[in-house]
Amino acid sequence: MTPATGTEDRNRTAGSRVEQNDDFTVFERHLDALYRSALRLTRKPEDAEDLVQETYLRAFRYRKRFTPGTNEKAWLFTIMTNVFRNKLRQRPPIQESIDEPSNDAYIYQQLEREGLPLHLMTPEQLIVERGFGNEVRRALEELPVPMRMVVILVDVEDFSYKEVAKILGIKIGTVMSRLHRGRRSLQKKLWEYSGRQPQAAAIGGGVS
Amino acid sequence: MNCNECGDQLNAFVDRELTAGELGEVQRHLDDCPPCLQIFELQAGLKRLVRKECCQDEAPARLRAWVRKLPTEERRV
Repeated sequence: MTPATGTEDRNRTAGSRVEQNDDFTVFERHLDALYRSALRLTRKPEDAEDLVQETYLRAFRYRKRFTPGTNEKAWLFTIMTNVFRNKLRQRPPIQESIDEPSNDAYIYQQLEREGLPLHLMTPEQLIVERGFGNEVRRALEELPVPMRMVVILVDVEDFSYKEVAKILGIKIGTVMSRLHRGRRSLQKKLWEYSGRQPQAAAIGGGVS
Repeated sequence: MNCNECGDQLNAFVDRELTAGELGEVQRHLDDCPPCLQIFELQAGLKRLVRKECCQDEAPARLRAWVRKLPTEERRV
């Protein structure tokens, strides 16, 4: 690669290795975010490192395509999710199934069926103190990739629905339905990991 | 707004994706409906929990060093 624009020439001093590095350091700020998401996607530290390296390599090579002042975090996540999807395509497909309750209130209904005084409890008592906390990462990593990506981008990385739609190249409606399905499935998994049996559904059925 | 309508909007409410008008409607329903409020608090609590658990992971120092050196290494190629 031979950088030869006027700006670079101006910044370059004899023997200096700095050369327009400032133009890339903004991307380093998002390293922890990319890595923790890569870890959830690949499930393995060594694969997560590979994915992040590949992402930064591409980001560096295509850095001229990035418009300064726009959302560099979204840009990096666009690259990373594309790299990850390409990697998946190169592997034999894994059959991923989703075990999804029929509505968004799964844990609430389960607790209700256990006869707990829900109105006297805070969310922290309902969730954390009842042993759901430790299994969150495992539950997330077991979601099928399309849902896992959306839950990570919205819940962990705090992107808006619109940004997620742009990052993944899908419609906002698809973002929402994947998010809802992912969260429902997450609730059910967390409930099961906490060692409880699902209580028979009183209405609507659908709980196996 | 009834409980079903509230349930349909709850994800977007938790994610702060509603317009001011929609938000007000959900808020009014939650103020009057303890079960929906509990479901909302559980959803919001789960979201916080997912975020908290996942944010515990930090990039290894080796990877950070690699990223820092990338511009100089790449320009040498």
